[in-house]
Formats: sequence, structure tokens, C-alpha cells
Amino acid sequence: MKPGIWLRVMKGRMMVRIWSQFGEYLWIISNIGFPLLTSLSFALLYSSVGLKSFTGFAVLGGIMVSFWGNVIWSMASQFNWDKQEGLFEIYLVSPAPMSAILIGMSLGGIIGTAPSAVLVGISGYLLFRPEFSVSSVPALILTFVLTLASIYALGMMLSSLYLAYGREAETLNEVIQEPISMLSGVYFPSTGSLSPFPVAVQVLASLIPLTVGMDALRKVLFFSGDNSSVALNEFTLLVMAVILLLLSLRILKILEEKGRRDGTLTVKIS
Amino acid sequence: MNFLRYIASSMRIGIYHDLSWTNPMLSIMLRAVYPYSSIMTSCLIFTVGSKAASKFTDVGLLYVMIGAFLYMHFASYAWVPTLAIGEGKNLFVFQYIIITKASSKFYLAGRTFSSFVVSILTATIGFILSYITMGSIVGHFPQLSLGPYSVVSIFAISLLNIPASLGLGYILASYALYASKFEWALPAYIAGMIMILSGALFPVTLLPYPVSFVAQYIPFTEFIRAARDVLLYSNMSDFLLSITTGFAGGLILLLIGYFVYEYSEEKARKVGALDRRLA
Repeated sequence: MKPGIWLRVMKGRMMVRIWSQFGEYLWIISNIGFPLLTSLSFALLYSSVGLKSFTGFAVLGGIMVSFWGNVIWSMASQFNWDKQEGLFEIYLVSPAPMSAILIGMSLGGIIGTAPSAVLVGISGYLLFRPEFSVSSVPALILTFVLTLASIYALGMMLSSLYLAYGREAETLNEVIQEPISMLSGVYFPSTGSLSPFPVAVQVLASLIPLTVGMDALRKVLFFSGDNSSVALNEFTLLVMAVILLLLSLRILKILEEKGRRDGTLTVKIS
Repeated sequence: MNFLRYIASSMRIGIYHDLSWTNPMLSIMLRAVYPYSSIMTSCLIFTVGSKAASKFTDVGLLYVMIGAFLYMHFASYAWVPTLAIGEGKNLFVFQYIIITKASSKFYLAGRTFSSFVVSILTATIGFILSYITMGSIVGHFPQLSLGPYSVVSIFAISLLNIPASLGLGYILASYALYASKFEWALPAYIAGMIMILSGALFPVTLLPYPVSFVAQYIPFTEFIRAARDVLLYSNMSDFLLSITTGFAGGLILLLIGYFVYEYSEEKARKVGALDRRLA
């Protein structure tokens, strides 16, 4: 396979997603509603117990929930929707590499979600003025990039897995979205000394990339963490991203071969 | 009494839509995961925040748990009419409902009632599981005023809230009649606003004036306050006052919603907005 094809496919899939977001500004407005109002609610909950210094956790949670929602609804479900609309079989018969499609989808999703996430962050900052304590901007950027890479890699794996499902994929999405948000501690620390969870649950939660990423982001944003204090988190996120990406491609291959044999790669109308 | 038949048929469709994609028991358990996680998230935020501020109390934890439980219940079925129209338009089903002699208002009411049944089950399961989980996390079970009377009172609150949720549902549905995309976005905003304005997680007095003044008279706020009166404070006089004002407010909201929807539906027929626009 020529690298040129891989890059062109990746760019092509990415641009579809970017234009679908930026070509319709209502997407940005509609995407900020849930994360913004939820993070406002939780920031007010922190304020109600007299802990204004934690309102930043809620604002950061609102930003990351924007991306997490995109992973769940626009990555995980995507191949399933493509299958329903007859696009997936076109991918398969074309010379387009699936890895390029998946990565293009992820990059497009990240760029498309960024405006909503930024708006949530700005609104939260203006309303609550949380205190940030950033000592290393490179650590913040690296942690943020690795967190996004690992959660989007998780989205790629779910996307491959969901090929095996029909309409129940959406219910599965609803089933996993909120528990993962809760266990990952999107709005509160779910691991470490502040965590309310027992150690066993903390260990379980640490297997989710979002947990590791949120923990590292809180350290660099609110506790003056630098690259050395989040090195373990960054390394874990990198390993998780690579493993999940490889797993997603492997699962996709297995399901594709099974689908070809069983004739389940297209939706049967009757 | 034909309208009762229409509503009953619509309820059957709603139950089938929500539960019959797999084993109904499994479906209910899966649907309970969302309210459970959502109630837990609110309780855990309270626990982390209040312990860090050395202000943790059992009453505070139950205050948040009860509020999050009822918020989940109310919010999860208020937007069903919007969903029914959006989905119906996309699948070209809603147009058939419009051309039958049964009014779409009854169809939407039936879908709301069926969703109410599913929601009361799933939210209650979520609440019980959250209570047990939080009990094991904080090391003891906070004292709830539980008994046959309080259980009946909570069920009564839930029933008396139906007019408010249906009224809000009709208003949101009026928008969905005209929307060809993003019809799911408005309910998300409304659900978020209810979370803030209903005092589900914190007292509405924290909100700036005049928002705090208006918020305390919203039916959802009244019902959540009534639930706390019965489960937390055993204050029956305030409970009766709250459910009376909440129910009265709900009836007003239902009347407004009904007429707004009727007007919108009539206008939508005239301007041809009821079909899914593909271009």
C-alpha cells in the first residue's frame, strides 16, 4: 500500500467530519448545551458545600465530556450507522485502508469538537473563575494530546466492536457512557487521595484511559504538576492508545472476515 | 371515550419501543444503569467536595441523592414527545399518525405515559442501588424516613408531576414539528436548565436574583422539595403545600403546552412542515 493513499484517505475522512461540523454552526451551539449546563450544575454543587476551589474540576469535566460524548456518539456508533446507510460496504470494496478511515474520523472529530469544548471552558471560567495552577504548559499540552489519543483509540475499538450489533448499539452506548464518566472521575477525582472509591474500584477505574487522562490533567492544571509528576500517566496513556488502536484494527479484521462469510456486512431489510 | 383507546395503543407502542428490543427485564436493568450512574456522580461530587471542606453530613448526601433521583425521573420522560416526533418524521411514521382520526396529542400523551412507567422503574432501581453503594462508600447507611406512607407519597409526587412533564413535552414537541435537524438539542438544553433551576443538587437560593425567585415556583422544584420533606425532614405540612402548588403549576403548564402544540400542529399542516425534508 502506498503511503500516499493512506494519507489521502485519512485526510478525506477527516475533512468530511470537519465540514459537517463547521458547515453548520448550529452543531457547535447544540453540542455545548449538555456539557455546559451539567458542568455549571456540578460547579454550583461544589460551591454549595463551600468549596469554590473545586469548581475548576467541574469546568474541566465539561470540556472533557464534550470530547467523550463525541467519542461515544460519533466514533463508536459510526461504523454501525455507515453499515445501516450502505457506506460500510463501499469502504470494504475500495482500496481505502481502514486504519486511515478510523484515524481520519478521530482527527476530524477532535477538530470538530474543539470549538464546543473551548466555549464550555470559556463560559465556565467566566462564571466561576476557578483557580488554575499551571507550572508546565508543555506537560499540559502533552497530557491533553495523549488523553485525546487514548480515548479516541477506545472509540475506534468500540466502533469496530459495534459492527457486530444492530440497533442495540445505541442502547449499549447509553449504557456505557455515564458509568465510564462516573468511574473515570470526569467531575471529581476517582483515583488518588481525594477519591471516594475503595482501592479495588480505583484499580478497575485506572484501566479506562479517561481516568488516567483526567487524573493527569487535574495534576497539571490545578496542582502545578509537570512532566515528571505525570510521566507515569503519560506513558500509560501512550501504551493504551497504541494497544487500543491495534486491537481495533484486529477486531475489525476478524469481524469483517466473519461478516463476509456470514453475509452480515450489510443490513438486511427483510 | 375513544381517546383512552388511542392513548392505550400509543402506550403499547412506547413500551414496545423502549423494552422489546431484547428481554424486557434485561432492557429495564440496562436502562437503570444511566440513572444509577448519574445519581452516583452527583453523590460522589458532594462527598468529595464536602469531605474536602469538612462539611460532610448524611442529610446533605440524602438531599443530593433525592434531588438527583427525581431530576433523572422527570427529565427522562419530559422530552419523549420530541423524540417521538423526531424519530417518527425520520422514519415517515409521524405523517401516518397525523392523518389518522386520532389526534397526535393523544399519541404523544400515550408515549409520555409509557415512558413515565419505564422511567419510574429505572429511576427507582437507580436510587436504591445508589443508596446501597453510597452506604458502603461512606461506611454507614444514612437514615431515610422510609415507610409505607413515604413510599406512597413519593409515588403520588411522581404521578402528580405528570401534567408538568407532559406540558413541557408538548411545548418541546411544538418545536420538533418544525425542526428537521437538531430536534434533540433543545431537550438537552431544557434538561440541563431543569437540573439547575429545580434545586435538584443545591438550594435554588444559590442562584442569582430574580432567577432564584422564579426557580422556587417551578413545579419540578416544588415536587423535589416535597420529596425531601417526606423522605428527609418528615414535614407533612410543607409536603402538602409543595405538592398542591406543584400540581397547580403543572396543570397551568399542561394547558399552555396543549394549546401551543395544537396551534403549532395546525400551522405545521398548513406550511407543510410535517414531512421530513430531505433537501
